Amino acid sequence: MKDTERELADCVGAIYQAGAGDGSWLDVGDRICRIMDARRALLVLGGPGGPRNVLMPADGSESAYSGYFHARDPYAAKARHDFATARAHHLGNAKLGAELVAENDLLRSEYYFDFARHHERRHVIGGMAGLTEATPILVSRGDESGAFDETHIRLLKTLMPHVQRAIELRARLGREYEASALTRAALDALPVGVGVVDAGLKIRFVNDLARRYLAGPDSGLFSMRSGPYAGSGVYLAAMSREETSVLRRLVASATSGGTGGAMRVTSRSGAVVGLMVAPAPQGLAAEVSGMDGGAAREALALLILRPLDRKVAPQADMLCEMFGFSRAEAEVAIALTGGASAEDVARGRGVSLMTVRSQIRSILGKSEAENLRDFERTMATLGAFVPQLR
Amino acid sequence: MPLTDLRQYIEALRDLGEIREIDAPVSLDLELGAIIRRCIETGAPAPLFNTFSDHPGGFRILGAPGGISAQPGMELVRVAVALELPPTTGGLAIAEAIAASLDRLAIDPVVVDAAPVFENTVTGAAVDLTALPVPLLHYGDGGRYLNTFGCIVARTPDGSWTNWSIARMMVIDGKRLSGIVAPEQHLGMVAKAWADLGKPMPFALALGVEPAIPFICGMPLPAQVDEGGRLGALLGRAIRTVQCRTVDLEAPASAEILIEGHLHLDELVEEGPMGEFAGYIPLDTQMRRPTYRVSAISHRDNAILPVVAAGEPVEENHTAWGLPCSAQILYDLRKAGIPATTAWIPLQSALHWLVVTVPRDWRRRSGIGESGAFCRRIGQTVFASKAGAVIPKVIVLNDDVDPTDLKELVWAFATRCHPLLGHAVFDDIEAAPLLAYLRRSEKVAGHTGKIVYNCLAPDEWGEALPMRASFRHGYPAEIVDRVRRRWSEYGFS
Repeated sequence: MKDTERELADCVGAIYQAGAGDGSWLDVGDRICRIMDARRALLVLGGPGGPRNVLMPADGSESAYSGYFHARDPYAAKARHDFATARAHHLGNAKLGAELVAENDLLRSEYYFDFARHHERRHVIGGMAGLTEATPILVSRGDESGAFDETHIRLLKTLMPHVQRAIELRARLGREYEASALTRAALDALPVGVGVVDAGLKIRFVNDLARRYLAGPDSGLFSMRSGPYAGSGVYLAAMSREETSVLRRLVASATSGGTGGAMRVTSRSGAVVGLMVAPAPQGLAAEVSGMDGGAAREALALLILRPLDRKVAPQADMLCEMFGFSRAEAEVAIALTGGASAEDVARGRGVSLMTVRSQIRSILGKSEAENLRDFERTMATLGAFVPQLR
Repeated sequence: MPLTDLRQYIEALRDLGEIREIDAPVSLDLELGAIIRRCIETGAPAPLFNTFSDHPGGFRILGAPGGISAQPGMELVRVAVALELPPTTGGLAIAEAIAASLDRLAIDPVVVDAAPVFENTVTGAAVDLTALPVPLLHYGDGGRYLNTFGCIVARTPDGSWTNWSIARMMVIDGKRLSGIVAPEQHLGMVAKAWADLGKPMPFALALGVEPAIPFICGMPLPAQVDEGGRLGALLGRAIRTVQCRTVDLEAPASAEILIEGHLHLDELVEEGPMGEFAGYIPLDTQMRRPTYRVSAISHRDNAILPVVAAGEPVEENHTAWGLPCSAQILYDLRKAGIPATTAWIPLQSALHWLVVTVPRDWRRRSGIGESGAFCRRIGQTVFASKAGAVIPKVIVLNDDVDPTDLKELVWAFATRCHPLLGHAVFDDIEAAPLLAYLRRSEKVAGHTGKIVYNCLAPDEWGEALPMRASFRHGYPAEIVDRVRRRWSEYGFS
């Protein structure tokens, strides 16, 4: 294989890696410039910070300048026109700059005079790609390097189908990312800590509450970045060797066909957290940890974190909103949790027993509970939804 | 291509720039030993001595036959070529290749009718060991050592086990040799079997054999396993042997020089000391050791005697003994359920260190939860094996560390080893008496303490590992790749 062919093959690989999010578009830009003997490469894609050229590092002055001249870029205008009028004909095709914009028009243009000639865009090749709008690649040189020729056209034509597929891949992954982001947002809203780990305790996901807990200075559990390489992942660990050992055992069970189990984790301050470990539902695991189809088959464990060392009761506002309690009824309902009697509550609130009994009847009616025991169960369930780890 | 004799090996090394022929006359008294040591210590090509100032000639000597090379990327070229592997094969790959061969069926040697070693033969009264070019290797050695890299062939009286081994042999006089015959070594076991019958042990000493043979002789295979068959399994071909003239043994047919005779355990003569693998010339005076009585000497025309100048690393004790030891220990560990990525005796440690590396999920693979218990299991396995009997210190590391890279090893040992926590100490265990630091009482008792250094990540971390702040590890892969690709663009060569 000739060097150019090898470089082309490597470049194609880099294009797909970039499209899949595993590689760098800057790397693609480097490779295209090398293969085409070009100075600059341009591919504007949308992203979190808005559209930008992904093939070259941001250049402050050029960005500012091109921001102004972009609308006057005759190549961009031509690409938009071609894409709108004959998309199928142009997709995957590549042309010399002179075929896109007449030389005389270019050299007389404000775009060229004020911008392009100062930024190595005297000679251009354009290749067409895009999904719903034109997303061309432009490769350029300055005046001193001479014009591109048919060889360069062929090289860019070879790459264009792969660029197109990489852009499609990027868009599809972006949609999947959106779905995944929704799931993550829902988990973040839960009032309990949720995590997903693999059999080696490598963290695939933690929700907002769990993340806050793990970052606490006194937490019995913590997360730590792992090496040996940068980006090797983040692992879950316990402060004590014994608790780490139990945690490993439960996770091993949950990831090897067992049921997992539960354990208590004690922090340095003495606070106790209940940790439930169970096999992670396959769909959830795949969605929150962003695994592809192959990795999704790996068994993961679901972790649920709850503090155990403080009384859990719903807030009064929550009860008023849910059952239509009056403020006084909500306060009585909270006072009743934990087994307090009507007499205790009356004494505590400084009201008559009759008043409290009346309030209890109203509470049971509004909450549709059959008796106080039934109501306590309701309160306990609601307690699980109270944010507690913050 | 198979290298079936020493001369083919020399030509293969010559093509790789690993042979330096020396035509200037060299004295066998210390000068030759000093030249070999300097070659060893500088990684120079192996010296092939053609003439001697104090010997009439007819023989040559090859020094540093298994030494390391200073050529970049080819440190173990002599070992790799000897074992018929690509010249650039690294230590870990060589150890893996040897370990992998241990599960293959043995290919026993074949006996051929003739061998060039019988171009010249003397027997009985005509035997004269002093006619051979036997060097005085170190200043302080107790005598001249004929055997430093030869293959000693011995067989049990019932014929069930033919053992090939290496052990030093010093010339006593024209017809006698002596050397260490330790009872726990296989040579000692076979000799004892003969002594129990009231008979001396027939032996053959094959010097200058085909290049792979010394490596199998240095390998600590279990008792009752024939080295010849195992070498056949490693090379994928049968080793050729030939019937000896005066003893009922078959010796490697590739030998340049063949000594035959009987070992008398009950006839003790003064032997040693000699500069040894630990890197020191012992301070001991001579010891009384068994006698090899020689009944025949055969040799090729212009025969080549390989010579090892043992001492500070890296010499053949560390390559031809240490490297096969690494392979055998790796095999033993895996058989014992230890998920070892590799086991490696650093060449520069003179067989005093063994590094065992394991993957991050060693707990799940081994079923052992705590690193201290894991290290103890490794120690129990290593120290109980023949290969590990020599090793006094084991270092257990995660396998992100390349134990063949000394810079990396020193850094990892220094920074990952807690001085107090998790080590497995073995207070009283059998030890090889040649370990450098042993006290006299320990040498006599043959017992000492050993240790497994726990350099694994703390147990609380689980499978998390330290993140390395290096170019290779501390940056995203695309940055590493980009910097590598653009290195010359930055102006670096």
